[in-house]
Amino acid sequence: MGQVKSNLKYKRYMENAIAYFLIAISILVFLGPILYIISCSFKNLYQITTTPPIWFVWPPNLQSYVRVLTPEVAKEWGLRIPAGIDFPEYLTNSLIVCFGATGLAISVSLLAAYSMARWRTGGDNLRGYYLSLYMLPPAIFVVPLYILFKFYNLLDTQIGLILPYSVFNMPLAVLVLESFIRDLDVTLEEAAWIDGCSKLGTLTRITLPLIMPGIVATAILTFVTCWNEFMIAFLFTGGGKATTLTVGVAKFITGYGIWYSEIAAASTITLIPMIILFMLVQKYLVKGLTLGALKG
Amino acid sequence: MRRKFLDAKYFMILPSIGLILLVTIFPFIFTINLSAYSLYGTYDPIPEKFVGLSNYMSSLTDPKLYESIEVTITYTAAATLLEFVIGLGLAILMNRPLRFKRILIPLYIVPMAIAPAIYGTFWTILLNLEFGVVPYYFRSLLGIDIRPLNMANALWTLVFIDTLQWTPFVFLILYAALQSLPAEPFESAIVDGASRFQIFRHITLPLLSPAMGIAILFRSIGAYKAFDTIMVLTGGGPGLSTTSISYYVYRIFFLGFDVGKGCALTLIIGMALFYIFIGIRSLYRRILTWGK
Repeated sequence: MGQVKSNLKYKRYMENAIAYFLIAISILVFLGPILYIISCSFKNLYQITTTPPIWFVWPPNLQSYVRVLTPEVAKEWGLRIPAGIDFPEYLTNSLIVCFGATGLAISVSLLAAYSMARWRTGGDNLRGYYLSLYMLPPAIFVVPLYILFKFYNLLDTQIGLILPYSVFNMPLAVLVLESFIRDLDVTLEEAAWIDGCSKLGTLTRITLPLIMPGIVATAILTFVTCWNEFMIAFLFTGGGKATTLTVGVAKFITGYGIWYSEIAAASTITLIPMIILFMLVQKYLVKGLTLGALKG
Repeated sequence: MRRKFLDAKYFMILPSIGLILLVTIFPFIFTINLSAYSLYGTYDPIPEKFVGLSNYMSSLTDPKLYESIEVTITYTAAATLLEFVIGLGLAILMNRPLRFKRILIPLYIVPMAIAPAIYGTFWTILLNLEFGVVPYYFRSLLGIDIRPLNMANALWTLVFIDTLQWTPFVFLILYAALQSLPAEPFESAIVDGASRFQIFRHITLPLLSPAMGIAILFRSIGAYKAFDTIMVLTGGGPGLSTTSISYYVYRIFFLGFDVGKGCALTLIIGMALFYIFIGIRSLYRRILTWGK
């Protein structure tokens, strides 16, 4: 009997060891490329283009960050910088566009989500309407929108990005917020209705404070999606004055050459805040990314 | 109580529907008009250039359209399948009492937080034939000279990149679902002496199927929308080997300046996908009501 028990224990031990091993390999594979690029941002051109590849550089070279973040300082130091790239401006654009789009999307979606969650307004058809927007590729909406924005001179403006961003994120915002509201007990709201509070009043006074964590999580998801959007930004701004970060990073691939360590530095600056934001909403990530279809 | 038509609940959904109409349906009306003209690089309908339905005919008879559909289907199917299989495997591996889980699981979130366009640019560095990490290790460890972005390999390289970025998504969904499964069926199966494979086949799989359906659905949606990585990494090439539907529309309208055909194409693809969507939606509803 003791023999059997220790065999079982040994088996379980071995299984866990194999599990750890496979998980470690998978994490190495998933994170390897990202870590390598981050290390590239601290290298000079020689260290990037040499073989065998260098995974860890010491001392770190911060020149590419200076080139990317403060082109003016880089010029004063006599560093060569790629012409026509203004990364700080792209950063400002991204911040304005993403905050604008998230604010617009969340405020409009919250109303719709509340109505849908509490009175089943529009029923399945309305939900299908939002879902269709999520499932159809943005490419087919981009062509008509491009023509429309051309007429109204909205191409290469921040408003011209905020509008489509907020609309294309509405399915996510509405459906995720709806599922948060639905999870909430309705009795408090019913008490407010009985006391004569209006529907809008109930939403702002009772429901809003209660689902604040859900709203923040949805807002963060929307923000990250906007931040990471490339196609609309690329086609509508064409690398002009409203260029956002994702398009800005690709601009370091120029006709004269590729600024490898600057690409790496710009990417690192762009992605680190998003990783932190995703970590913050870890608990709600599954729910958010499946539009509330699954509980996280 | 009298039913009010002008109830606040209707006003609440109006702003969002209005915005969506403004940005999606309203522009399409312009497109319908423009699609009947032969226009290059101009967005004003010129009466002499009226061609009726010929833009639709030339779109539908263009073999490139069907090639791009084929590319999109291959890419979507391959990426979704790979992500699903690896994600499921990882979720099952992780679904046991392991130490360090609190540190390990957030690490899987990292790739998903990165913009696909930026992740794609990473691979211009990693796949560089002279100094890229991937070709270097293939050469030094396996002795194989790989050409990741040539005609035969480019699409599979993109599938591989998509898999690396989005497998964690499938993993997270399935892991969360595994963790929330009820314990009773498993306990009674163990009492009844079921083997581990039997438990997996007859209890875990059926209970997990809604989550699996959703993981597959959302990953395939993400995959067939693919544009960003294609744009930064291959530019649809070599030839048409990585031209997805989205990229094909881009090629016609933005690179070819063929406004009339671009509009016709958009309408055709939009309509086709809309009907496919109606089909998927009924499927989605069935997935959601599975096991309820």
